[in-house]
Amino acid sequence: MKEETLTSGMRVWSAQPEGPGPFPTVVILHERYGPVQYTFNNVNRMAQEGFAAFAPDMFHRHTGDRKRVEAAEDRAELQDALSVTDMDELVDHIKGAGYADADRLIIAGYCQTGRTPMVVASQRDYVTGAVIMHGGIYNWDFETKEKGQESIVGLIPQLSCPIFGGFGELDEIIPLPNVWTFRRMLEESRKSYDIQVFQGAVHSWMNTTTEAALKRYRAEATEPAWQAMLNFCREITSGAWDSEQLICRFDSSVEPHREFLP
Amino acid sequence: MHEETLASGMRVWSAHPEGPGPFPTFIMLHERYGPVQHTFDQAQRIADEGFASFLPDFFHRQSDQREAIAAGQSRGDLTDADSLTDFDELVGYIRGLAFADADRIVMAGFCQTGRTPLILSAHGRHLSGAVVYHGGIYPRDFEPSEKGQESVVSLIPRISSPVFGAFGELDHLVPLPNVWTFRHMLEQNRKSYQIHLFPGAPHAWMNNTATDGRYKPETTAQSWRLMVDFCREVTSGAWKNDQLICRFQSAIQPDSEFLPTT
Repeated sequence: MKEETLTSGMRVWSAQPEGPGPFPTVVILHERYGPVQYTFNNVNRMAQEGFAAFAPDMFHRHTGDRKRVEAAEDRAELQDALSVTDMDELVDHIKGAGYADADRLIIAGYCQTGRTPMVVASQRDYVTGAVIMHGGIYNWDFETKEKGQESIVGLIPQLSCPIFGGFGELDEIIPLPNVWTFRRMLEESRKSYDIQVFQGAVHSWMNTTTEAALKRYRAEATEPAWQAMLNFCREITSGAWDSEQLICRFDSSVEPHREFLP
Repeated sequence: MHEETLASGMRVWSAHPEGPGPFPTFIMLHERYGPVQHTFDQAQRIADEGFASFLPDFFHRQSDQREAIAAGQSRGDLTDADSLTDFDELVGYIRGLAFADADRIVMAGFCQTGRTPLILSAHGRHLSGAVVYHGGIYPRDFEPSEKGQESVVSLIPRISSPVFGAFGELDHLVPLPNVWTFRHMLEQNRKSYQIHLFPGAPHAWMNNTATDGRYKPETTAQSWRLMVDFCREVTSGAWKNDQLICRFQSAIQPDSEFLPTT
């Protein structure tokens, strides 16, 4: 994995498949911990799967102790305007990399950064697909703008690309009705989407890198989630989603007694 | 295909794979034309896919109008009670056949008979899967019972089998909002389903004997493959009773009206 520091001071880690490319590009955003081993693992996996993968440090402005953020003892907040600034800088960097095709660009956000791909796709047209993993639709994401963050109610009608959403049936901070509301909002705004709900998955079920993460790890939902997300990324970057069509794809498996209707 | 006449006078055609079986059972219902060449072709094809395939003549009470019905000049109406009687007789016949597994039955209705699998499942007949092809949710299917036919609104809460629904974007008999309403009713009643809405497909796109341009070979192949996969899944136990599975896939023109108004 290569580490570079851009003009702003933002560090970027990257990996890519062998060969000259250009490869379709994916930006992997970190969780609330900042760039940690899990983030790097995701970058490496995407590179193995055929993508030029980049992970920026979206917390580079944070002045506090990063170790405390990594340990989840402190929280670094993101502002929409600064996220867009950072992504603009990263996309310029990607354009100069040679092996990465910036015209086929996926942005994937996890947990805290789940909403970030939507923020960028609502203000920029360089996003080919926005991937949201277990985030983006927390209860507070529906509330009105605070701390420089716009409600997703305002973001969704502005989206410029298809959305992939991967959620867990048992996510304790994403109630299932939020997934159904998200689906309705995307349909009302006529935005193409692929939403998957994985049975038995708790919040952040795909991470194996720490002892705390292993308690949440759900092996049976991890590879299916990877395959669903990769399938979307491959379809989107190969032009399989006709931009003249409204595509609605929903695949959910939950226990029958769950409350899921908004 | 093998032809037999049951005690009621109902003719039944059947075909099955080579070997002793027992094979999962597939009951293919005819369209408004009664059993015609297109129906026989489909029943034969499903046997080639590994199912014990049966095609009953649900219009056996209207034998005097046979030619006019086959030409689409006359309409044979089916009452729910007669459909139940015919199904029971058919299953009694299937139980006597070593090659067919009568405990694993998928029933598929097309057009006029699209609603029939829902009727049977709602009345306690065990189906492993109910397949509804471009029917079952016409506007009149939502109205209160007439001519011995119950509304889908009251049928759906009582069905006990997963539903496969295949619809066409351009079906002039099935308005797009009906597909969304169907999805909503199934979810509200916690019924597992897989619904596909195919872009550019008119009513009865599978009929390769139609000369009016409705036959869509690509959609036919695609929808057939999805249906066979569903039938294999539900007859092999892949859809579990303790799962609510919601699968929806649609591709339509973005400016279409598809959201139900109520």
